[in-house]
Amino acid sequence: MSVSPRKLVQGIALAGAALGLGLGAACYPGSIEGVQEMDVVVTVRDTSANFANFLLYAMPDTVVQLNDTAEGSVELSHEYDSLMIATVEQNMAARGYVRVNIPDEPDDLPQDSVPDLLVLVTMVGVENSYYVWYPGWGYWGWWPGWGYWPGYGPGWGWGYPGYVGRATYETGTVFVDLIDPNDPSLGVEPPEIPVVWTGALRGILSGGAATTQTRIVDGLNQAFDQSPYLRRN
Amino acid sequence: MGKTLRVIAAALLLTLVLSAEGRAQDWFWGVEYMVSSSTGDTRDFVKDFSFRNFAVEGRNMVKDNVSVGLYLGWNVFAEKTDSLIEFNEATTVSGVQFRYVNAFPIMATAHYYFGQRRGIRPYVGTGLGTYYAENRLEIGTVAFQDKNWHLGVAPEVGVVIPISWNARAILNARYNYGLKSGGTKLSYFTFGVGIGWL
Repeated sequence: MSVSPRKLVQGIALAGAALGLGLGAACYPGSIEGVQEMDVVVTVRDTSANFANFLLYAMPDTVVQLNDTAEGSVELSHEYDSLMIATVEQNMAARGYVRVNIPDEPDDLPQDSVPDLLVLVTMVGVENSYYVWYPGWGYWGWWPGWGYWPGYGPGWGWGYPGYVGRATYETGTVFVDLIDPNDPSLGVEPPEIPVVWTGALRGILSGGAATTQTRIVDGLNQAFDQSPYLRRN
Repeated sequence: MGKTLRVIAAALLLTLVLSAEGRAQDWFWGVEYMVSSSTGDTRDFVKDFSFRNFAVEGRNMVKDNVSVGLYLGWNVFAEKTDSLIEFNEATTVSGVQFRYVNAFPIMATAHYYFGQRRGIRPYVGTGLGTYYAENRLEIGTVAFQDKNWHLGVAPEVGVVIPISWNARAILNARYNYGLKSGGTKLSYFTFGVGIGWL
């Protein structure tokens, strides 16, 4: 059997085009390897603050959930509160800051123990949702509005090969706020809390207790690690 | 955008005018597969040696040693990274990110060939036109996407090797440069192997 040069060239060209298109289509690297890779840490600082000027700080032992009554919010567990507080305290100590306890009666606080900073740890839980279309249903399948009718959802059979569903995921965010109570802007109108640094750890609420603990500790440590200016000495 | 469209239209018109005197059989069509490496601003965003590059082109031999033509390409850069993002002096973001650049060069081209018509022919040339580029950054559950048209050039060196009476292999190296648009430039090298026929 003989193949003409023209056919050979055209065959090679088609193969090359197919190879190129195939490589182009299969074009993206790897994928998420575990829910911890969805975690994001954001830190924001007041660039006018000199963090070497602070020494003493006060921090409540309570982690407050900010929006636990808001629509779409998710009730977050408090089983990690002490872990969060301890991790923040370790990071603050490693950077030269000293925690002081606030007595029930503020007048009982010695003058030399008045904190330079208030550290608040808070958290927010939010339910996020989006509509997905599982292909195969044909003409009407594109319309996400089907998801608004009660009773429809993932796994609901339409009697047709396809369905629309509402998928949800929950995210939690832990905030660590450093507040300068001696900032002259405190008490001005309109009211504005003088936050000199915020660390925020946001992640999808998923995984077991051990994974969650690791993610919390790693995230809080990362917030401090990516803020090299945040230190007493 | 209006300026970009005018440049594209002018480049295409120039190509058609210059090729009008060429005979139909003087068109040389090719497909090209490339590897590429990001540089400059593009590398600052995505560090990638990419195997995902593809192009088609047509060249009209307006003289024995000169061609003008059209070039359409698709270059993909992608990277998974956990490098810090610093928006400004105050804000730092960390987390696993997927970064992508999809660049689509749309060029009028001109090439000058050395050597004999039926022999091995080294060439130099350039493309002039535009790049449509999408930069995408995914982090956590959010994504940021920036779409820009860049005016650009693509200087090129290469060699055309005859493999039959009407087929040619092409080896080339091209530098792709898009002028600043949307706050960023586009910059990458491609190294291609292609096949074309008269």
